[in-house]
Amino acid sequence: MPEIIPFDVAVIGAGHAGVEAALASAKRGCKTALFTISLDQIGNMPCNPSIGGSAKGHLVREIDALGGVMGEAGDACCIQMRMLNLSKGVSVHSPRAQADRRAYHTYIKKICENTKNLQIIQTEIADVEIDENNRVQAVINRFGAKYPCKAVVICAGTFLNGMVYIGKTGVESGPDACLPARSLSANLIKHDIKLRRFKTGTPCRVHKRSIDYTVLQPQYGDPDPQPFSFMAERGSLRNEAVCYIANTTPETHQIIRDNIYESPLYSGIIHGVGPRYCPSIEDKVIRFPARERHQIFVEPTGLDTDEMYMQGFSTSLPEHVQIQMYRSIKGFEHIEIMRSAYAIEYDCINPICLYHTLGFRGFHGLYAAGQFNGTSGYEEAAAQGIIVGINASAYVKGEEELSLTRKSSYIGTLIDDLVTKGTEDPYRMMTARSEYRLSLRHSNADARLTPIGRKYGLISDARWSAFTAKMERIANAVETIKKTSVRPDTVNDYLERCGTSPITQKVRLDALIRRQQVHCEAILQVLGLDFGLRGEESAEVSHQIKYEQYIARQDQQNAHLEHLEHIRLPKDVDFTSVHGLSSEAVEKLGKQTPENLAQASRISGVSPADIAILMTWLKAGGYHGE
Amino acid sequence: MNTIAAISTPNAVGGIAMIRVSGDNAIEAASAVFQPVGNIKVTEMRGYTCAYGYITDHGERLDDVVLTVFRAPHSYTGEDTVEITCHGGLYLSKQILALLYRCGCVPAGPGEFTKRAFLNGKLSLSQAEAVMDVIRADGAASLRQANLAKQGKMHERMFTISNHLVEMLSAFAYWLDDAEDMPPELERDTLDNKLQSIQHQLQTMSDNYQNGRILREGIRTVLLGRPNAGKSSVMNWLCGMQRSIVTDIAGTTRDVITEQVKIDEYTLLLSDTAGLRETDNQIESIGISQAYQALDTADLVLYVVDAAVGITPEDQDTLSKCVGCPALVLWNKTDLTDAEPPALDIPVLSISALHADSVAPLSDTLRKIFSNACIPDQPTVMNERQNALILHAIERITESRALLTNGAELDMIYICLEDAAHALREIDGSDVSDDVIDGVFSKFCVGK
Repeated sequence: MPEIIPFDVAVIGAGHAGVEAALASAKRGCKTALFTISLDQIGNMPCNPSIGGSAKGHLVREIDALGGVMGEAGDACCIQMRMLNLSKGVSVHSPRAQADRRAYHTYIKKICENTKNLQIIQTEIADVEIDENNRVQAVINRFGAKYPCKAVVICAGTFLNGMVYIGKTGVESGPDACLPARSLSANLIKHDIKLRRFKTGTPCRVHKRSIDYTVLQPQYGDPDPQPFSFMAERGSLRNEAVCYIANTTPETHQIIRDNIYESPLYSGIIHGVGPRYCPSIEDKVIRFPARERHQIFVEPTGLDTDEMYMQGFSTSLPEHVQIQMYRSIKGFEHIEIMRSAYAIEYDCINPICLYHTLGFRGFHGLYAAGQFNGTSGYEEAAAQGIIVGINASAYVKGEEELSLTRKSSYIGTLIDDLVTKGTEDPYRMMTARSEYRLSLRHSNADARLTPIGRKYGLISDARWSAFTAKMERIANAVETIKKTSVRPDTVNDYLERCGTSPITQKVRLDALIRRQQVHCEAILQVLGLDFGLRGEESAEVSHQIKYEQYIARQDQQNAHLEHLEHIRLPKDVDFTSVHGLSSEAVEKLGKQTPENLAQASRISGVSPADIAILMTWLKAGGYHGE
Repeated sequence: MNTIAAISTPNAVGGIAMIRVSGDNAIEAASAVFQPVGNIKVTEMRGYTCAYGYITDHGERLDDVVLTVFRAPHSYTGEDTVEITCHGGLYLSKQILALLYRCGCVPAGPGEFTKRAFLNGKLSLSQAEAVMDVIRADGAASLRQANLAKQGKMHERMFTISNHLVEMLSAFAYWLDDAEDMPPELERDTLDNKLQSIQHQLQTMSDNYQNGRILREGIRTVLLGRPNAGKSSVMNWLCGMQRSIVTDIAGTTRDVITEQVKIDEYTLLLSDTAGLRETDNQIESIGISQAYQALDTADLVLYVVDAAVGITPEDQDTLSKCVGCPALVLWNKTDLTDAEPPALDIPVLSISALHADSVAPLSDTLRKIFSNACIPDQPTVMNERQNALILHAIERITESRALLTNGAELDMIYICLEDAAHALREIDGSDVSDDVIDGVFSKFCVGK
């Protein structure tokens, strides 16, 4: 038998996490293998045919800023683009695209195929070989073939011991009728990795012709859509698809209540925990009995298919109930279901067993990302994927691994939440999860993260010089505006036109721009100030000025947290030797080994008193190592 | 660390009071308000040394004090610390504290001095807890016990209000995030109504604090009257000591003199003022304008009239200006004349300040005037620090409401409301997320 050449990094699973991980690793020069159960499902969207959304759009732009692929692919396969939350303030503006699902798969597969150092292999990985020093050695497939490697990234999604339920019947299956992964779980448990069950669900796909669109409310893409990728040209997106909004009726809710005993969740067959922020329709009806209706968004799954996705209507009730439910909704009286809604239950870890690098505690070279880590959503998965790809390759190359701070990004916030607090249900990103919301705009993701992507070799020279030029233009504009004073006669006409009081003496330009009614770009034009700003840049200049004082207030509120962030905890502290810590704190701190006091303070079971004791102990020089 | 200051002696009238200042700029801040007697520079004083001198505010002497300097790390907190020992009136010590705030000090949180001592390794946690026990024991023995009991209720009330705000914030946050399955649109009007209600409740608490303050801290009393009506004699009668210079030259008292006197259950914080008259004398006219200023914050006006002269049109004019607070006419010098006091729509008390040997008639009248003043049944905040936090929250809510009306971005409004919520949670001690270790020390009194 010819010897197999060892890989540097082996990625198990080619969903949104696995793809980002494999691409990052390969681009960083590591010989990388991407294993998938089906080559036809690489970058698959087994649930909603969309990328982005509230807070998720931020994640996509952050992934793009770091040098990931999701933004570029989302733009390329976009069939409708909208900016959400436009009425609520720029920090929560979030782009969301309807994507052509098959086109997305094809696009991603093509990129993987064309990436140097990356080999895609269709097989089911059944085991990870780990030596007596807890060092990763190889992965082994169902048939016993061994692929030696230095690092392994588990991105198993919902495949591990996947069970699909419709009504009370469960069958062993992965998502979208793929084969499940039946062996890996047992072998991970053998390595002392604890697994638990989560569940998630997806709604029906129905035939386009079976809907009466005349009674539904259409929803179109934005007139001038903003792409995800910082490299994309505005105006390059396809945007022709139309979505529709329908509403459930009291009759729908009655049908659900009458048949709730048929639900595998409510009858107790599924024990897995479902996502709180993406509930099934039966969850919504039971949890919010006062609501008279819930919205359903009808979304095309692509341009060359008649399958329509019913967003907001996931369920695990049996098919005959599903049909009844649809028939009770205006516009769906003659619905033809092509794929029934189902719930899927799967094995995953509690992510507190990971470091901020997404490496497993207690192992060398073993990493994990995506739904396997207890998250929900393509974007959350991809966000972890790029970090884990950077870190597995950094491990192989002997470089310092990357852990993003909460202040830097939603990705940093996501990972910090996962590994310090853990999660009790599939974790969905929300802007409310960040205490730095005002400064984490989707539009400044590049300013925050592209230098980091550059440091890790994911940003090309051309992109880097475009980026630095952009940053210079913005900084120059902001700086000049702050140094400029304007005379009443030059702006009063404009000020009165936009309904704000005229000025009586010279006023600093930034003070005027801070006024609600004043539009930054317009006033610059009135004054004949041209900074050569392009695309999103003038909006960014405006945000930096208009939000300055509020961001200062936000940072002031977080100052204490940052102070704790800077008090580092050495890696090998014996917490039992710290006098006065509660026993729960000793146990949790010992297990999770936080890097600093801010992380320690977020661990449940570690009280403020424990933090105070640690602080004094550190200051008093209780620690003499390192 | 920033520099904190607080009155470390109990929140009651005493012989002396001590103000403690700790932090990087403690010595600098103290030197800005303290004018030493002799050729001493506060910034050059060594640790464990004292200086005698004056606290001055824009050149005006507030009090003569002793100032003690402790140099880091040899102090209670382990930081540079200054202790200012002044005369024990609440009004006076608070004025000195206010001066220090103006020089960059910030109010100390509950137990913050001890917390700093703890953080700087000067105390172990158990020692810190012992300090807390001692403070509690003091409290049990004093009047403050009643206040502490009320404080429990206040926290309940505070918790309810801040919960309203936090609930609103989380609904707000949810709504900011939720782009798809939308709850009914949050209307700006609805938000504003909710905020108005919260603002109103907070305002009531702050008002109640002000009402309770009359009994807890004293009645801010202004002595008014035309020159030589006998205001200073009245002052001395009330104080039972020669405080103001009594002469028969009109215009002797040119500045506002403060004094506190206990009359049964009431404490009067007395300001003797310059006699009110048209004058060309510059210094005297400053005194007169100060008298009118004192009127702005007064709880009571004692208007002294020379019975021999009677009520003049000038008096009528001044009395008509005392609309913001109760007034009492003191029909003085009855030993010199038999003139009967006129009928007025404000109470009149006949006295002879120079010869009176009892303040009983005054205390009866006070009881009539302040029959409504009481420690409010409604639980309320108990000290300046808490009241300042409430006022901070009110300010932020007001700002948010203005932003709402202006059509400002909702994420900006959110950050203002979050700030308000932080302030409220700091009062009820439930905010540990932002200021983690404060939780341990939240049971401390300010100044310890």
